[in-house]
Amino acid sequence: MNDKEKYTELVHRYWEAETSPEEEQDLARYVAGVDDPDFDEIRGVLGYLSFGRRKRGLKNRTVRRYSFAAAAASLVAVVVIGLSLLTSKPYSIEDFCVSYAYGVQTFDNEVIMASVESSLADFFAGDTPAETQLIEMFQR
Amino acid sequence: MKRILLCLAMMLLVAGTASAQRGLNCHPVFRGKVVPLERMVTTEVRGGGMATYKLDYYRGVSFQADTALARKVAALVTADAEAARSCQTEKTGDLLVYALIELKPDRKVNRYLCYQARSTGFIWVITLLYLEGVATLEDLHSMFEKQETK
Repeated sequence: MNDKEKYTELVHRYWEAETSPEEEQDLARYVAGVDDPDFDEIRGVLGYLSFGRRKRGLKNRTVRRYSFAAAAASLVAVVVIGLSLLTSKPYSIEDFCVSYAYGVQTFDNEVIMASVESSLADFFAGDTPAETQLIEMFQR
Repeated sequence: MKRILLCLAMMLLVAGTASAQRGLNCHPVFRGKVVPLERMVTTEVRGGGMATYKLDYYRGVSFQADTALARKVAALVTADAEAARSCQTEKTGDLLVYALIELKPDRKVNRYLCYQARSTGFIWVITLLYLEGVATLEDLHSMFEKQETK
């Protein structure tokens, strides 16, 4: 059994809640390192879960029991989000602002937005690079 | 089964982000597949402060590259430009050094790909941005030209 077959089976077991925490970590490491579209969905889910755990500082996976009401609420959320996606404006559950500089995360939103504005200004303010060079040549 | 229901809900939420640059030839650059993420400055903003620019989503990467890598990234940008609604490009020699690309909109959401390669001797500083929002090119130019005159 090659790696893809092995991890495809692991994905199936994950959806059935049959994987251990160690297997989930192994699966997360694998899907993060491959560029296979078959694993896009599980990659998205595991990435979102990983971000949430890191944000809350959770170290141990806790087993949660979902009641029928929680499942129904999830279904309603899916329907609402699905309807929202049909509208012109994409739905976003949460705004976020994140920056990494060579692997180190920046938490200062003001610094991040200042860099965003600077980057946008490079493209949308005034002259293109070639025009700028021409102007500088004539100004010498 | 219960986990599937919850994960299905999360998938739809994540899909909004994950699909933002999917389909672009430059997508691997944003994912750190062309240049490792540890060698880049990456920024991602959704909502919040982007409303000022009539934008919903901003994704930017910046990194240093030699000429060979700069050509590789330029080729990806050029491929995206070919399928764009409009584009403004500039070259130095045969190397693409600037591109402002208006991609085909996603429903009523405008999408832009901005690319710049600045030379610092033998090294190029590459900046690649992906934007989504209702802002038109005229809106964006107007916003920043107004800021310049202040």
